[in-house]
Amino acid sequence: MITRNEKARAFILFLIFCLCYGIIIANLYHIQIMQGEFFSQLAKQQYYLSTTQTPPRAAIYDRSGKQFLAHNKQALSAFITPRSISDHKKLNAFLRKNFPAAYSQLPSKKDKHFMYIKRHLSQSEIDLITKAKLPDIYFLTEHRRFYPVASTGNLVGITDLDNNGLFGIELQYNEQLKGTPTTYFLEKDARSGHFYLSKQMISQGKEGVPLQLTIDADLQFLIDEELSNWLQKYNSKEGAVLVMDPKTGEILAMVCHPHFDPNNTQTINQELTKNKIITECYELGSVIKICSALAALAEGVVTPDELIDCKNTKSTYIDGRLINTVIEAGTIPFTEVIVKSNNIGIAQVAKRLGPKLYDHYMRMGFGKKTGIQFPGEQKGFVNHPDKWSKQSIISLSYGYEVSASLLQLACVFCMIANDGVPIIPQLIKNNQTTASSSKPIYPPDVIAIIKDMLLQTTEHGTTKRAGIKGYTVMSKTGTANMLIDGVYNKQRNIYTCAGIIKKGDYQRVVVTFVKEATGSELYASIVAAPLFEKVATKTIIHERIV
Amino acid sequence: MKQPIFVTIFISVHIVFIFLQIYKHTQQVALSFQKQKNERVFTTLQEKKQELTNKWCSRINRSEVKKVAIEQLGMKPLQLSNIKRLTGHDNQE
Repeated sequence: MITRNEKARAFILFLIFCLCYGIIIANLYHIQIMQGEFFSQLAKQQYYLSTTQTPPRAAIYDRSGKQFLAHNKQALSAFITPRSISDHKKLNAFLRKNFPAAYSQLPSKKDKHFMYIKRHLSQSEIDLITKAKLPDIYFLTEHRRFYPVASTGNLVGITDLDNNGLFGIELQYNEQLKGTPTTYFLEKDARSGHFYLSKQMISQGKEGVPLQLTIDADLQFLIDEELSNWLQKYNSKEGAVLVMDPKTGEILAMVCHPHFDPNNTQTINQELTKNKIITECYELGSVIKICSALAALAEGVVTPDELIDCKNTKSTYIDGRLINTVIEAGTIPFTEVIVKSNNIGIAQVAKRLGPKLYDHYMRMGFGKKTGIQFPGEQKGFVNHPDKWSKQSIISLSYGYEVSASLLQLACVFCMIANDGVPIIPQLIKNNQTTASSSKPIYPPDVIAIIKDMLLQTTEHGTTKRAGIKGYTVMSKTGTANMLIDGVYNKQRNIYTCAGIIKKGDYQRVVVTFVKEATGSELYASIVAAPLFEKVATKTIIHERIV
Repeated sequence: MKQPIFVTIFISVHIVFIFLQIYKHTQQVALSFQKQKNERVFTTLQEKKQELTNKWCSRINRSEVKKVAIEQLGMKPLQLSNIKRLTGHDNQE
């Protein structure tokens, strides 16, 4: 029989248990319901994480599609975890001696979990760190760009440490080459091991698309060598060579000297990174005479056989302007004025054109961009008739008061090679987005006269040294004084030779350029024309046009 | 009598389903792990391919090839004058 006392004690015990369970339930309610969101987030942080995978930067190939002009290489970067350094003294001493930049950053980053010492280490730096055997320095693998053909540096460009293009093709096609990253949501266990339980794609990225340029890597190497040797011979400051296919506008070789090593950007001279064929303009001198001749013939103000009085002198005044010419001539046909590159003769013919010469220069592409997809292209300058002085027409006739890039000059010769049909220069193979015009901008009969003039110039004129036996070479040279501090300096010149080499259906346009050769009485016929011959020979042998 | 049998069968079937579910899940995890291992192998192979590509690029360094050709093999750069044209003969290849 249960007494009243026992009942009361049982009831109190029951109440105590109820209270305890009540506390447990209340706590459960507090944790599960009221703080449920908080703990759920905490748990998710432990076993859910999002990760981004960046695709490797796509490669750049030459015109064969097999030779690399740019591809990826693994590079080691060194880092430390400042919050957990075991030996401060040793580490500080090592960094102070060998990586002073990282040493100076260390005090401001002592609370960080991660700090780079240096990215993309050179082999000597890797050996240095390895030999030091410091437990606090770690390596991680990153991707960096490698450029097998160093002479394409100012064309292909380089990337920064994060593999973003800085200039050249790497910059122009940066978005296409780098692709887009893919983001995943991974479910892992709490120990966050190597493996995941499930993987969900949040945003789908795209692989980088490789680029195929029109450049022939082997030809580029051959021409680079030739140009380097030639510049050494004349102790010249700069030189450039451009080879194009006039039918398609494809650029087969584009060499500038001196150039930088794109695989060693530790000490980079910014001046050497410029692609001077596209981004620099010059007053090219007599090579522009072919353009004034084309304009004059197209306008009908002169015929190729018309006799022009060149005054039989090397210097004369026309409209108060002293005009000098290298080879004196008497009364000669207009064709011979171009063949002998007589300034007096061309100035007289250009005067008949007047302001129409400006229109023709603009039609030929001077003073505007060529349409090539390349950052930093300069459009050059043609003095507008509104700003002409009395002598401007004379200057314009033989290549002054007009500045053009070597690419623009090459495009003019491509137009001539194509019987008057202009082209848009191409750097990307099979570029369907840009199509050249199919309509000639000059009549074929006028172009035929110009071609004949260029042929005669090579056969017995100023570009005899550019001739190649067994091949049709149509070329023109130009020697131009450089403008230094507002005055033309006769001792400092640029030498240009531009021309077309032809055999059957095969045609190539070659432009050679040399700046400031050492020596007296030097002209483009001696400095630039033989280089043209060497480059053209290398090209035809390489392309097996024999 | 029927009720205990029914309950036994009911419970047994559910236990079997539970085991099947566990089995399916373990298979899924195992295959997922296998896939991840294959992904790692793929990444390693890609890195190896890149390494070999880099080695190949350094081997075909044109300056080095030219140096070997000229210094060791005694070759000379081809000139136009070295090329002879054969005329009036059929091509016999």
